[in-house]
Amino acid sequence: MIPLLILAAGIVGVGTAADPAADVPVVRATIRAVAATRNEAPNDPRLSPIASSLDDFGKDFRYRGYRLVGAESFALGWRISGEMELPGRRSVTIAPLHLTPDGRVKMHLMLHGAHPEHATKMETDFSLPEGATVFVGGMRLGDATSDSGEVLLVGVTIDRIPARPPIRATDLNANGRPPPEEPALPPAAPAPRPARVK
Amino acid sequence: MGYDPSRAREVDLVKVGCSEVIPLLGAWLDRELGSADSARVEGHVMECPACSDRMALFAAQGEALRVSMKTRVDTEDLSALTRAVLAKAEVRRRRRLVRRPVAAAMAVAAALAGVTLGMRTLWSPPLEVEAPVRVASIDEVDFRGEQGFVLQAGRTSIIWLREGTAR
Repeated sequence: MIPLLILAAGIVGVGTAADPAADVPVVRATIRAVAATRNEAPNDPRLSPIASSLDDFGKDFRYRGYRLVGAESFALGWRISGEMELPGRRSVTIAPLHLTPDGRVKMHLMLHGAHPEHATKMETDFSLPEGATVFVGGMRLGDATSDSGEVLLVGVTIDRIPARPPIRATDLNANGRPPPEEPALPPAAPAPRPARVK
Repeated sequence: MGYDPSRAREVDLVKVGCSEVIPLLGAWLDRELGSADSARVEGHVMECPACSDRMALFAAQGEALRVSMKTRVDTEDLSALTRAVLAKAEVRRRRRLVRRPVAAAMAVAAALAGVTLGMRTLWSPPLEVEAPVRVASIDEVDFRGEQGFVLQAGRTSIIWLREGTAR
């Protein structure tokens, strides 16, 4: 029994030490495809993480009910894209570009049209702080013949922003430039000769 | 748009080291780096397409600034500048002479206020600084011929596409 416990502890220890994902600077983002309707309808409880953003949206648009159609979470490295299929054979691609000076993430989003062309319908760059959402809306839900009156709303939310990489104090001065190389030491002065005693 | 998704994987292969090299790019272009750092940056830029693009952008920006400033300096008439500066300095000197008694009174008042504030800080807990509200913002949109608009509602940004309006 004890050797088994030691073996298990060893495996757990190795797993923890060798977990490469722990240090990888990834942006965690979630794409939600939402069906918005102008009819009064109970809101989907699965949309509670973006309820405040939907409230903001509802102030300017006359949509009253929201239903989650699909959601996908991504852990993306810088300039690595993640794609999600949308209703109506569309798709959306997102990629984090870089951290902005005020700590937000600059993202790139491409909305692709229906199969088979998948032509890019819209392309945008936007900056998001942690927990905030950008909506892309206006597309009919389903094909052109459907008459559901629902509109597709694609919400992109940043769940986690990686910490800014630390800058070592020795690398840069306060002016953002590296310190000058240290000058070579002058040659050592010769040892003083002992005074002659006459 | 500066992002090409087809290069995403390629860029990812060499992204290690970008964060160390990017702050040094400007200094490298100005030839202000030591030999070791210079070699490090040069080696990385040769291998990394993203940093190579950045370096080219920095260089182009620097050149554009230089040309713009040179044009302005060449065309600007600066002969009146010295006279204007000297005249302003003279006005300030006269104001200082007039305001000396007032300045003394204000200094006493400021000292008293400082003592009062210091006492308050000593006896009351420090005020909490309110964090700035940080919102989403749309930097650029290409509707690809369709009609659309951008709206900011609270912390949320909305891009609205009018599907089927392309000409």
